Amino acid sequence: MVDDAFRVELSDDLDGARLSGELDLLVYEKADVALSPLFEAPGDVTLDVSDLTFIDSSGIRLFVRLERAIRDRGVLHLRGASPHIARVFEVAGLPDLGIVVEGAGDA
Amino acid sequence: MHEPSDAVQTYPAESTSLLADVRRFVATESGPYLEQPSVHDLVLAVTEACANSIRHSGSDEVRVTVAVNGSCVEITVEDDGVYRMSLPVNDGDPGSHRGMYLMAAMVDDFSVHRGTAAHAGTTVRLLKCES
Repeated sequence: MVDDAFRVELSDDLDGARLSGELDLLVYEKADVALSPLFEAPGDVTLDVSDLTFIDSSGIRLFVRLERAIRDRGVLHLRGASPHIARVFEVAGLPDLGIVVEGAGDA
Repeated sequence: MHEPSDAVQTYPAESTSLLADVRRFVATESGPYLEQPSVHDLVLAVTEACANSIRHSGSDEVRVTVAVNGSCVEITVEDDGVYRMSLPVNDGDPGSHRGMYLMAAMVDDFSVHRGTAAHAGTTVRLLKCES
């Protein structure tokens, strides 16, 4: 049985994190708290979303807020998105905000 | 009108696992009829509809029905409350509009029959067809 519980692993340098599981409205607060150090990052932030199996508008909102917070200092990268997750990012307009979406197949 | 063969689940609106439970239910019931990308799309749309029930309706329960009609899956999300469609306000973060937009973008057709204070009970219908 696959464990879909949402999890955040911050990088040692606090310039990124690995997200896994399902990010939705009901874990939004938990995600916000867990990612809060990244809002103060001095430069680019990279989120590894290769094990993120679900994201809804709440999760999208969190990424939008994060991009806005670091905008003057760096770029938000979303790396390793599955085809479905990448499509949700596109439909939600994240690339238009300057968020760099790197799919699972990208180098 | 629901057919006897429809799959129905009722969830307490306060359930902390409501959205995950609904996703699993919808994925299981629609899996035999839709390709996986379409299942993913439908699961997202249903999540957005249920999230609206949780946040805005004031309802005690959320009822989710899965019906199959030919190559289409129709999901009905019902609650006993009021569907709040807030007008776009420049507060810098139109979260609920993003949800409504995503829901619409993920399905082939949808409808919202909104409950009001006078006549409570909101029904969202979502249609996803395999071409």
